[in-house]
Amino acid sequence: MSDTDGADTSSRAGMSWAGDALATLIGLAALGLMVTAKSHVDVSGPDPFYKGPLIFPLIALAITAAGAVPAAARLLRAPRSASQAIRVRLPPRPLLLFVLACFYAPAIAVAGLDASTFAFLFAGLLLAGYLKPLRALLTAAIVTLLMHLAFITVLDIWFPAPTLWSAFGGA
Amino acid sequence: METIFAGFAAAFALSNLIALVIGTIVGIVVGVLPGLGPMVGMVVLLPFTFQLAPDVALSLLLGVFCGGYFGGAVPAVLLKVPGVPSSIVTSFDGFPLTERGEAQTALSAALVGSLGGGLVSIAILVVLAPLLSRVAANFGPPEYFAVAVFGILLVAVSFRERLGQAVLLIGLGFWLSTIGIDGPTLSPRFTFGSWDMQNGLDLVALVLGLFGIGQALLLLEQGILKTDSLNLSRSSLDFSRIAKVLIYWKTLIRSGVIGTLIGLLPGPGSVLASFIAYDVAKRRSPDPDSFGKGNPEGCLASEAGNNAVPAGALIPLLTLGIPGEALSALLLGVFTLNGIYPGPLLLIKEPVLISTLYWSMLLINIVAFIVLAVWLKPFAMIVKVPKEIIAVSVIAVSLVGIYAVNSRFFDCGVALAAGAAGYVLLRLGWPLVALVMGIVIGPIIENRLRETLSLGDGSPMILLERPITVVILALCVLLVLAPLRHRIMRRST
Repeated sequence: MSDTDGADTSSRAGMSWAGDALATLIGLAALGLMVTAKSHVDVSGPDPFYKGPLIFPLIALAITAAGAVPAAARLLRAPRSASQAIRVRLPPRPLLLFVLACFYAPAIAVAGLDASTFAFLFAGLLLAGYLKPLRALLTAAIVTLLMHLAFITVLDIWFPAPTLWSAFGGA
Repeated sequence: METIFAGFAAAFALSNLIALVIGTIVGIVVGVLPGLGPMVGMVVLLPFTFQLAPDVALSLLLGVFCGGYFGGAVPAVLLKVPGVPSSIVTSFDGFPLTERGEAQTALSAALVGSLGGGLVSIAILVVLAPLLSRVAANFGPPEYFAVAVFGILLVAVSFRERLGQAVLLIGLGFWLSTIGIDGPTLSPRFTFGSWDMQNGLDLVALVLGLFGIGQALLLLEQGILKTDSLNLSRSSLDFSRIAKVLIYWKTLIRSGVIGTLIGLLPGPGSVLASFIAYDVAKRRSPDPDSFGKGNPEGCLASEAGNNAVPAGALIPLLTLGIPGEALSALLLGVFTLNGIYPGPLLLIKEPVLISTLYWSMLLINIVAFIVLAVWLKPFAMIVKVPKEIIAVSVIAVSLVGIYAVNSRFFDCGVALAAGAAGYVLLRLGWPLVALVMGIVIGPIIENRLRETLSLGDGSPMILLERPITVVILALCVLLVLAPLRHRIMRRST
């Protein structure tokens, strides 16, 4: 077996371990929510239980927990070291882009659709590994224009007035 | 016969033709753009319909309704990003075909499926509407509950190799659908003190997050698109490929019938229709293992199933006044604004309007097919764009599209959280469709379960007192036991 094959097998085993660990975690969370469900759902109404708001969430959480049982059993039967999980760590580019995306929606409220979209696209392209700044700039401008046309000109979607520009205007 | 000709003349009137062409193009555009879908297009066009005659207004909105399903297949096939939620299923085989450089075959199958499914469903709508509506009229909460359970069981069973994960995700989807204020009792559920959570988690935000953002992040990491192998030599659809996919005509008709029947039932909708049509095609295929790896029959079945839903959804709307889903609820609004009240008497009182509607539906399907077949290249060009541009643009369009649905930035947060979850689950190879199906079918099962239990004074035995329910539940039992029996038989031999 070559080194690559060995790494692939190890990576697959790590993914399988990570999948089982995730399923077990979700199952445990579902069990926890089942136990504490009454504090998360207002059951003070006059309805009998079968008409009330709690019956279906309990069924849903029970199904979730039941679905996690095989994974938990596999995990208990063949426990692996946490180092397996390290092999399936997330790569940096999607992570960086995701973090940037988290700032995009709040930025629309602050700087408006056009400015924030342009900034997100330009920065996002560079972070994603598109290392041609001029092309990235041009692409960001074109996509921003298309999005402006689609959402503001054609669809007439309401966006909040950008607070950043009004702050400059007021100053 | 006079009514048919009058409807034909009204449908081919210039104002109606312009309305249906505009509606169809808008529908395709919002269908192609991930994050929008026909709902946004219909809502945006709704104010324009107030000045129009009812038949013209309905043509405009029906154009968006049907055009959205046509357009949704394009990004699903080329990018594995569903333009509309039901196109997820189309991507199962469409995207592997694109990876192999056979995007034309995949798009031909999807477009022929959409057109065929639409035509089959219109034929059923015209010929069998009164009969089918009579059947649906006999359905009560127990029957709807049983149908929804059957649907979700079908989803779970279809992921036999990952059954535990599928069951877990269905349960999780059910639970996610309960978040927010409970309609019947007005009790807040799992809002954790958040005001925004009281409105619940928007389906579009969840689906676009899971599949749009999650897939875009994965695309960036894995660089799934092999753009060099894609044949873009033609600016329109390769009609020789159409002839190749027409060998699946039986699947086309069957999927159209399945989509129409599911569209007829209030609730399940296009996601379930495309999923069941796909699953049935897979089960009946002589080569079921090729499904999910790039079989055009899968694209055809899925698209025929989901594009048959609009006509199917019109049946209960026109004959009972019950909208089958949110999109047909908007159409109901157009009817009532014009003083027309759908119900059993509508077919008698407004025969010309109904006939116009049938002709318009037929024209919309043909127009949508022609528009996409002729202008395929502008859409197909998307895959020539570098993966970084696609990933970043898909995230931007998804987030703004999600905001556009309800004008709530909270939905963008939901989509981002769903995107992170979707990325991790896609990376682990979990069946994400099961989660979406849980979210979609959860509220239907919950409402029908509570109504059923109320009918039985808290006893579930009422389910066994109704013949239709007994038949559907027996099918559910068969669905669960058949694979077990198969496994036992295989072991014994």
